[in-house]
Amino acid sequence: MAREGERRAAAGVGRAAAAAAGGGGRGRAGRGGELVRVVVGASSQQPQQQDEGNEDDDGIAAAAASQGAPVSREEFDALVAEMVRFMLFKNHQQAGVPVKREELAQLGCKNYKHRFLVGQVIKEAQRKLRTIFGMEMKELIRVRQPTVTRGRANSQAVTEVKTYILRSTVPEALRMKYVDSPEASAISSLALIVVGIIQLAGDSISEENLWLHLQRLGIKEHDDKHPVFGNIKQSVEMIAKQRYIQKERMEGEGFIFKLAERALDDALKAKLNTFISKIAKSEASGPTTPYTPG
Amino acid sequence: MARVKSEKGQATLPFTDRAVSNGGDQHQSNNVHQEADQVAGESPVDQTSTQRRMLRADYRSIKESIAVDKESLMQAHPHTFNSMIGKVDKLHAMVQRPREQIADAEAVLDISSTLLNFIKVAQHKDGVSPAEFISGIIHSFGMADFREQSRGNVNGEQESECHIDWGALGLQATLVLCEAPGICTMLGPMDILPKQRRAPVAQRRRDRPADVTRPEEVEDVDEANRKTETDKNMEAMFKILRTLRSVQLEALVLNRVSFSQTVENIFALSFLVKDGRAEITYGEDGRHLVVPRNVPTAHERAGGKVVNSQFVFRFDFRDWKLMLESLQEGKELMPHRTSSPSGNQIASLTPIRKNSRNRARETPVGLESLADGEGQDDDGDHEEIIVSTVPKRPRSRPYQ
Repeated sequence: MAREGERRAAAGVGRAAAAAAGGGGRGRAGRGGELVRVVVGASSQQPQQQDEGNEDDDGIAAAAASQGAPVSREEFDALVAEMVRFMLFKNHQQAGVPVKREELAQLGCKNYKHRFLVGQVIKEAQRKLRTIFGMEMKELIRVRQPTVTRGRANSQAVTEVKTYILRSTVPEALRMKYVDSPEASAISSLALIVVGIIQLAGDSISEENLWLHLQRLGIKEHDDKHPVFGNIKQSVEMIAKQRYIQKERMEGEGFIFKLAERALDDALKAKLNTFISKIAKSEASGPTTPYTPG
Repeated sequence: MARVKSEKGQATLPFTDRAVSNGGDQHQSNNVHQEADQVAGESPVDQTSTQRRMLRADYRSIKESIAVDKESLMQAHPHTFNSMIGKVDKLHAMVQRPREQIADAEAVLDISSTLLNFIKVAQHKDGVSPAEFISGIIHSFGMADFREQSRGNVNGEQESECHIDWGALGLQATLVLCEAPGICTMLGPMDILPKQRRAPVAQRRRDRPADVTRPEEVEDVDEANRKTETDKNMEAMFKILRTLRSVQLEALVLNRVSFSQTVENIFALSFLVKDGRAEITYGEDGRHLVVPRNVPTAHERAGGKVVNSQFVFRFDFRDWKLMLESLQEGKELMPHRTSSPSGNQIASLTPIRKNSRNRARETPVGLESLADGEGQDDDGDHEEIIVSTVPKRPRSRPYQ
């Protein structure tokens, strides 16, 4: 019986190794003190997520298994905790500004030789943020066009930069009741207005026209002492940093504002359209009818 | 909206038919007809430069109003659009030269592009334009007085003050944008590293200062008033002579401890004798005695009563040894001098160099006592001046 147990144990180890090598997709052990086998790859056992990035299926798992000593559970948890803290603090330091994947990779994963460790850590960090904090660590892909200098296009091809933002997944009722406050939320109203204007103008609008619309709300381009937004230009630049909009130079003179990757999200678009419809209805219903949310 | 030439080759005015069909302004259309007849049938009246300038100014004002009222043109106010078109029509009737034609074409282009954008937007978003969106924001979140102001300013004139409820609008914005709050639990950036302690710089070991030394006292450097050691010895010796009147020569000069000080005493006595302040005589037992005398006056010197004479007082170490034996111990009168000579005295003493190849290091005159008092052997072969030989410097041999 003992020999049988030993044989089974040996077979189990072999199976595990084979599974890892063959891209079995088995994740990590759930108990502390055990090794975490960094297995990457699309498998039927793991749900495919959009955030996995560029990992292939079979050969990658074999390469990962052959890259040396696996990461221990404690180390993995430490990396995840570091990433979660980093995202939270970055979101406070620069509210809404996307965090680059390179920055996340430099938190500690660079000390390890595993190529796909970053992806695993990000995935786990997303899970923790979702379950513990009620936030979604959403991935955005920013496409950088080759710049044109002096009439010649750069030789660099179009590059994609992955960034991550935090979005709240708390239900609206709970948010209104426990999270949001008028004072803290007022700063977001400018982003909503600007995004709404640009979307209604066909996803792009000239800078001149944008300021014409904003002037009707008392928001002037060169105003730096607005009671809510302070310096208006800086506020608009902050909205661009948050990747709601992007500013591009026109062929002639001037600039145009376009929607950036964050505003092109389907969920946000749907909510924005709903909001715009309600605004239009409330205005059409009569001059004395106020806006009713919900 | 291109111009269409009539059969007669004369340019016909556009908008003519539209102006008639709209029936908006019959008077305007009549005027347009009249101008058309004039253009068709008669030769155009030459315009002056002033008239053309005014015409271009009118076109510029229309372009500016189009730029400012762009959104109001697209609102549900068709009269605004029609009035704008009517103005352009009027001005167009007076166009004759290419420069004004360009201005006219630009005005028409602005109006048509604005209309085109309006149609695009209307088709894109169920007819909600950005202007309507702003109006809705004002209606929903504006304060009561601000709503009234905005209603009165449909042409998009700038409002003087903002009275939007940004807080309420912000609550809606967070629901739409789903922004997550951040957490601040630490001070400073995450990548800040603790400051490294500076490597302690090894301080130079400061040597302890030398032993406490008293600075040398500044002595009077006046040569005339400076007392030499010999003068002091003379004074001391003369005091003894004045006190004791007649003393034995050996007792006066001998220093039982130091041979050099004995020589110095003899030296001082010689000066006293030279000055006439001391006299060396013989006693009854044939011993030499020294008695004090008054200094002879100049008269006595001149009279020949006082004459200087010389004799050689040979005194070496052997003689000193004999003197030690001849004089009873304790009979010495001159005190033993222990202090080292001062710096000035040292500076005043120059070493005596011998004209010999054997350049020995010589002790300066007056400092023999220092050398004598310390471990000098009692060998009697020493001369008066103690010298120490140094190895002869080898000659540099030529290169071979």
